[in-house]
Amino acid sequence: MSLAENLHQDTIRDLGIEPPITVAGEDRISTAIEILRRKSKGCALVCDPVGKLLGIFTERDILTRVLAKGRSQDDSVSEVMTKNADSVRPTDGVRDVIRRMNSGGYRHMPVVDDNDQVIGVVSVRRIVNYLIEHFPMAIYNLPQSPKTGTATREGA
Amino acid sequence: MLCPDCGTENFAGADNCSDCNSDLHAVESSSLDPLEKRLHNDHVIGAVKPNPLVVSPLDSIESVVLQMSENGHNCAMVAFDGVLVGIFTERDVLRKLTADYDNLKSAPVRDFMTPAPEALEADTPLTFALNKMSVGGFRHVPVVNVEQQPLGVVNVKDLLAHITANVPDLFEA
Repeated sequence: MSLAENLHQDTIRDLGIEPPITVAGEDRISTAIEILRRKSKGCALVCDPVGKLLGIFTERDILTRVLAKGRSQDDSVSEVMTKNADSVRPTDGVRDVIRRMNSGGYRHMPVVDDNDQVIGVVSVRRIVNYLIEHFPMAIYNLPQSPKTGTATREGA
Repeated sequence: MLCPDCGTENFAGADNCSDCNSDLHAVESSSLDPLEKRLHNDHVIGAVKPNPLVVSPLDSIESVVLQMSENGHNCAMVAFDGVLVGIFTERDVLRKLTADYDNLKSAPVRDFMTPAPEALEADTPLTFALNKMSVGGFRHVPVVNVEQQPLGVVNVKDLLAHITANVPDLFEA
C-alpha cells in the first residue's frame, strides 16, 4: 500500500494516542515547567477537575509568555496557556490532522473523546515517525529524478 | 543501499541484499505516488524557511531568547566566523535554563547550546531528512553549504508544511 493510500485510511487511533501530561489551571507555572522538564515533553494539557480541556501550555509558551516577558513562575498556568485549544478525535484521519496542524501551526494537538474528555495528545513528531514507517524502504535506493527538485518555499 | 525487505545496509550498486538476497531494485520510481515522489525527489533546502536566526557564541541567553520569541524562531544556529558551531533550541531552554533563568540569562549561549550538531547539505533528499529526524530524534536539523555556513534549519513542522503545500489534493478537507 502506498503512503498516500495509508494516509487516506488511517486515523488518529491507528497512530497510537500518547498519554497526555495534564495540569490544573490553578497550578503554578513552575509546577507545569518542572513536569515538562522531568518528562522531557513539549506540552501539557490544562484540564478541569472532570477532565475537560481548558487549554494547552507548550514549551513555546514558556519562551514567549514567561521567560521573554519576565513573568513570575508563581503565576497560574491558566494565565499563560492557550485557551480554546483546537482538538481532534480518535476517529479523525491522519491526513486531516496533518492539515490542521499545518494550518494552525501546531506541534501538538489534544485528543478528546465524544464526551470532550481528554484522552491524549498527538504530536508532529509522531506524524513524522508515521510517514517514515509507511514510506517504502526500497525508495531509498532509487536515484533522484533530475528535473523535479522543488523551488517552492511554501509555509515559510 | 538499504534492503527493502530486511533493512540491511548493502554496498552501493549491489543488485541483491547480502543478508536475504532480495532484489534491491524492486521498486520503480514510476510506481511512486505523488507524496512519495515529492519526498524522494525534493531537496531539503526547499522546506527551509528564509531568514534563519544566526547568533554568535558570545551572545547572551537573554538576547537569544528574546530574538527567538519575537521573531517566531524555534531555535537559533550559533556560528563563529560564519561557520556553524552549535544549535540552541526551545528544548535547551526548557531543560537547562527554566529552573534558574534569572541567574543564567546573562551567560553566553555557547554554554548552553548543543555543539557541533549534525547538519544536512542543501541537496539532501527530504526522505533522508525525515529519516534522520525520526531515527535520531532530532526536531531541528541545520542545513549548511559546503563551507559549513548555515543556510537555515529544517524542522518537523516545516516538512509537513512543505508536503501539504506540494501535494494539496491529498490533504483537502
